[in-house]
Formats: sequence, C-alpha cells, structure tokens
Amino acid sequence: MTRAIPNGDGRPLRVVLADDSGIFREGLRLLLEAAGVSVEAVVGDAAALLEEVRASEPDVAVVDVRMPPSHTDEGIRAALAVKEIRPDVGVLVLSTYVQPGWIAALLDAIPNGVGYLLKDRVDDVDGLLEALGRVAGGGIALDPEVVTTFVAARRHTGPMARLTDRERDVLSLLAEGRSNAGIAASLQLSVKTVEGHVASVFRALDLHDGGSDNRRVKAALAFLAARSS
Amino acid sequence: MVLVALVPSVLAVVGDSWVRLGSLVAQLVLAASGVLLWPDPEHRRHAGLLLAASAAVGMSNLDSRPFELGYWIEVGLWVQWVPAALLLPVLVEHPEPAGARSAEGGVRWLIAGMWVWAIGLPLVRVLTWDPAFNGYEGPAEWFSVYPSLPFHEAVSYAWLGLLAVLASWFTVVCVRRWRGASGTMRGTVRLVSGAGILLALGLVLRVIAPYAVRFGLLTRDRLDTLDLAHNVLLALVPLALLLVGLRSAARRGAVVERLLSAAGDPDAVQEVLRHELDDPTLRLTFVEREATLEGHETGAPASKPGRVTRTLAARDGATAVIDADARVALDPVGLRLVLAATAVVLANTRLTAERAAHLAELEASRTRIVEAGEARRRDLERDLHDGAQQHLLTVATTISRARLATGTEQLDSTLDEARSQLSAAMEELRRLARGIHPAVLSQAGLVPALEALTAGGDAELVAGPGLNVDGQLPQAVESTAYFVVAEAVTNARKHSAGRIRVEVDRDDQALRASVSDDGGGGARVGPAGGLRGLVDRAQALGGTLDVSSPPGQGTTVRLELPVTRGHSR
Repeated sequence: MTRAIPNGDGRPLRVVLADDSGIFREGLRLLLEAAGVSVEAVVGDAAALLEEVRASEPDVAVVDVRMPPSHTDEGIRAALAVKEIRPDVGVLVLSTYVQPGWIAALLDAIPNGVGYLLKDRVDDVDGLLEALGRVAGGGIALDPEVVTTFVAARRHTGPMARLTDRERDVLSLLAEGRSNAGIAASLQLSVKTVEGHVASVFRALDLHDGGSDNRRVKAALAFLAARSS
Repeated sequence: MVLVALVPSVLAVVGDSWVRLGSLVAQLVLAASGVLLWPDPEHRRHAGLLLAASAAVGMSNLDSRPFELGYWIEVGLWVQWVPAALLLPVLVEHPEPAGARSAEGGVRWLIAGMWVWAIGLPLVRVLTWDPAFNGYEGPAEWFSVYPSLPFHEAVSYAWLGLLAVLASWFTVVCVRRWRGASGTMRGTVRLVSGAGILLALGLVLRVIAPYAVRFGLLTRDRLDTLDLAHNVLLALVPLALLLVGLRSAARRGAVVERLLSAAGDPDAVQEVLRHELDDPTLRLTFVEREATLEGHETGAPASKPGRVTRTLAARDGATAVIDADARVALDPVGLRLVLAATAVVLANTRLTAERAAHLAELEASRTRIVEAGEARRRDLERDLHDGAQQHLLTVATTISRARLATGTEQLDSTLDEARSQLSAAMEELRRLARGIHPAVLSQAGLVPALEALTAGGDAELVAGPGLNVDGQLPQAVESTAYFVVAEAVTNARKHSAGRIRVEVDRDDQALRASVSDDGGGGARVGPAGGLRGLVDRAQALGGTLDVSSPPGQGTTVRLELPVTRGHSR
C-alpha cells in the first residue's frame, strides 16, 4: 500500500536526505519512496545539503546529526543553516541518541517546522510519515523517547506529582508536538475530553497556553526540561 | 738540613744583630709552609722549594759576626740570594700545581736567568773580591782567586743590570697573573702574585742599597732597616702560601660537608658545585646507564667553545657530566677536589634523579594508558555507531518497506534484501568483536591467534620451541603480546611492501616477540602515538619494547614481557 502524503495542495511530500552512512541513506530513501514520499536528493554532508535545499526547495530536509568532518553535531548546525536560508523548509533531525542539549539548541533557535526523531523510528512508517507531515506543516515533532526522558526526569517532583496518569499521557503527547486532535486519536478520546485534560494540565503546572500549537508545545517542553525547578 | 740551617740564624741573632731576627722568622715561616704543603702531591715540589729556601736563608746568615773565621762569611755572602731563586717558581705558579707554568718557555728562561743572577754572578763576585778593597782586617778568610777591583765592579754592575731585567720581567709575569685571576682562584692567585711583587721590590731595594750609600743617596745606618724590611717581605711569601694552604684545607672540609648534606638531591648538588667552583652557569646532568627509547645520548657530550665538560664515574657505574665555564679549569686542583667529592655523592644522587625520572615516566605512562583506553572506547562507540548500528537501522528500514510491499514477490525480494543486510550487520559486529578481543586468542591461545594474524600471505610466523612447553602464559602477557604484534604487523603492512617476519618464543623468564619488515625504516617512538602506546602496554607489565628502524633498512620491533612477575595486572 502506497500512501500519498498531502503537502497542502495534494502533491507528494518532497524531501532531501542528508546522512553520511551510505547504506542507511539508501535504505531510508527506498522506504520513503515506497511510502509515496518524493526523495529529491540524498547527500552525505552539510554543504551538499544546503546546496540541494537551495536547488530543489523541498518541503522537509531530513538531517543526520553526526556527519563529517567532526562527526559531532554537524547535523544540528546544518538544520539551523537550512532554516536560515529557507525558513519555510521544515527540518527533521535524525539521531541515534537522545541529546537534550542538541534538542534545546534546535527548539530555541527554530520557532516552527522542526523535529527531532531517533533513527529507530524507521521501523514505524506511519509515525515517520506523520512526523514528516507535521514538520512540513510548520509544526513540531519530538520523538516520544525524548519526551519520556524529560518526563522521567520530572516525574516525582513538584507540580508533576499533582497530575493524573491520564493528564501525564496528554502532557507527553502534547510535548511531542501533537495537536488536540492528534492526542485524541492517539488516546482514543474525544477532542473535547482532550481539551479538558490539556486545560487542567496547564492549570496544574501554572503554564500559559500560548494560543498556537507550537507555543504550547514549547511551554510544556520548557517546563519539562527545567529539571531543577 | 732545614733544622741545621737554623743554627747560623740563631747564632747570628745572638752574636751579631737583632736585625737578623727578621731572617730567622722568614726561615721559620718558610719551613712551616713547606711542611704544611708537603702532603699535597700536586704541590710537593713547591713544598721542597720552600724548605730549601728556608735552609738557604739560614745559610745566608753565615755572613754574620759569629762566623768570622775561615771562609764561612764568604760562603754566606755567596748563597744569600739563593732563596729568591728558589722561591721564583713557586711565586709564578702557586697555587696551580708544580710545573704548570715553570715549564713554559718564557718562565723557564726567567728561572734560568734568576739562577745565573743568584748563584753564578755572585760566585764570580766572591772570587774576584779582595778584602783589601775596602780595608777589611777581620779574621775571616777570602777566596780572592782573581782579585781585581775593576773586574769586580764590572761584574757587579752587570749583576745589577740583570736584576733590573729579571725583576721587571718577573713583575710583568706577576701582574699578568694578578689580572688574569678569576673564579675560585682569584683571591689565592692575587695573594701569591702580590706577595711576589712585594718580594721583588724588597730584593731590588736591598741589592741597590749599598750602591745608594756609596753614591751618598742613603746613610749607612739605614742599611739595617732595609735589611729588616727585606726579611719581613721574605717572610710574607711563605705567610701568603700558609694562608693559601689553610684556606684550601678549610675549603676541602667545607666542600665535602656541603656535598654530603646535598647528596640525594641533584639540584642541590648542582647548587653546591656552582658555589664551590664560582660558576653560576655550571650544569650537572646524569647520563642514563642504558639508552632509553627516546635515544638519550650516552657518554659525554662534546665541549662547546668556552666550556669544559668533565665526566664523573662512581663505583656503581653511574656517570654524570659537569658542564661548566672554561675558567673553572684554571683551578685544576680545586676542580679535581670538588669532582672527587662529587663522585662520592654521585651514586646516591643519581638514584634520586633516576627515581624521580622513573616516577614521572610512570605517571606519564599511566596517564597515557588511561587516555588510550578512553580513546579506544571512543573509537569503539564510533565503530558501533557508524558500522553495526547503521547496518541494523538499514535492516529496520527494509523491514518497514516490506510492510509496504504489494504482492508476495515484492515482499520476498524485500525480505531477502533485509536478510543480506542483516548478515552484513553480523559480519560488522564480528569484525568489531575480533578487534576487541579475538576469540581465537582466548579459545586456542597465542600461537593460533598469531597464525590467524599472519595468514595474509605477506607475513611469516616463526614460533619458537619454548611455546610448546607446558605452563600457561599469564593472560595479560598473552593478550598484550598479541595486540603489540598485531599493531606492529598492521604498521608493517602499512609502511612496507616487503615480507614481514614475526618471531615469538618464551623461556622461564620472559616471552619475546619480534616483528621485522624490510620497508623504509625511520620509525620512531614519539612522545605520543602508536608506538608509544605499545611501549606503555609493554611497560605496564614490566616489559620492554625496542624499536630499531634505521632509515632504509627496515624496522624491527622487539617485545619482551616477563612471565614470572607483573602478570597479576
């Protein structure tokens, strides 16, 4: 079954892949193409990525964190550079590890259309496509593992203790970047119920629902990431 | 002889004039300084000259009233200048060792001239004198072999002229020594040459005094005063030498004491040497007993211009090199004394220096081992991340793709892809595991592991008979040997196109392995890097690693690991 991912006007989603591992890059390209994504180019480093972004104007740039020359955080810097030259192109960073520092740097600098996924997500095509779609649409997509790490660090302290299990699930999904509808679908609840949970979470944590989806995601993440408070 | 010579002096003081007391004092001081100097072999000749001068001073007192019989007065008059000739060599070279300067051409002529003046011409004067010339009517007898007043006068003036020449010459020599004096010897040299100049002055005054009287420049009663002054000056010389001797004796004790209290601390010993030899630029370095891997130079380095180097050897074979300003050689006796004392504390000090160096090296190698381990873990993570992880993730993408497959055929081919990607991942993991610890090493032992290592066809393994003997090698020794050989073989493959030869054998004491190639050579153990890491691994087990790699002649890495100790690590 091949799904066409809508990018607003019905065309298939157009992406550029950057990863220094040739075999993984190739595997991911085959997978995305099988899933109906149009892979415009695959490249091995940050400079080539920027060139391809300029040339083919993709919806999303999928970027590996560790790339040459130093194999540390080239992908994070490449993502920021992509946003600098083409603010409307979404960037989805793929990484082998949950690195809170990189995630914070990414979310601090980029207001919308950004994501951070573990490479492990390639085993879940639907999740991968959903994240791509969300980032392409200007939203935020964080790996559940990342959010779990944040939540785990906060679980037993302060205001978090006041949340019910359900509310904690809602907070996690919200921090992943999901909309109320997305959360509702994921937890098999009605959107109205989710709205109620979200409101009570924000009250309990004394956060302000900034209005737009992205701002409330960032508010939730900022709360989760601030471990010492 | 020296004691016998006291007789005329004592008699002269008693029976002639108290003025003779001056010469008695000079005689005694000369004798005392001669005796004091005698035990020093360097200066024994000077001591002999001083004792002879003492005796000669006594003999010169034969010209006094108690000896106014026979030819005694004549003999006394003849030998009265001999002390000056005897003292001359001492004055131009002490405290340098006897013969240091008197052998020089110019000084030899000066000394020869002095003997002509002191004993040759006086003999002629004595033989040509007749007491009738000045109306002497005493009981003494005179040689009067060729009494001729004009001839006597002529010889006398020649004698005066020769003295003028010799005294000026001697003064020049003394002034030069005075000005050239430096280092520890400055004071001593100046003391001796200053005393020499004064003595020359006194001698000249005493010789010309009678002529001054004759020409009415001086009254006769002043002669005694001059005579006394001369004798006092004569006593100054041995006094100066006495002082020198006492100073050096005191210094000898102090040097040994200071060095002993500094023993064990190389810096402190160097400081004492700097002080004692008065050279702040002096450096004391210890020479390694064996050349270490950094290629420490053995033996003494060549002296630079203006510097002297001396190599010291202690009984245990320890050696040290002293590099100092060339002027310390101006005091060879002092230098030798200080060096001899230093040799005593050398072994002790060297041990301290070695221990400090060893500790520093131990600490450095420990740090390097930790860092190497850290780097190894980083590399492992990198290998895992870039290799096996990416392979497995690719398998995951392919399986995901299989779920999107339409139709059995597409599904089958995608799953086939996944299976081959999975075996690539497995192979990658196996390769990595082999790098961490080859299974063949733990299961079959060192020789089969080395056989696998050298199986490429470009290497030859020679396993010695000692390896077949029973007795398990300590595990750490086995794996260190394996990794060192593996690394050396990898290096050899990288740098040489030729054959690689691996030899390994063991006995009760040690496991020895060598890896040689016929490549370009020129390998070096740097402060960091691959070879240094191998040295560290070998040393961690109490072993050694030598690299011999002359340019153009191939490289041989030799490993030796003790099998009897250190294997618990």
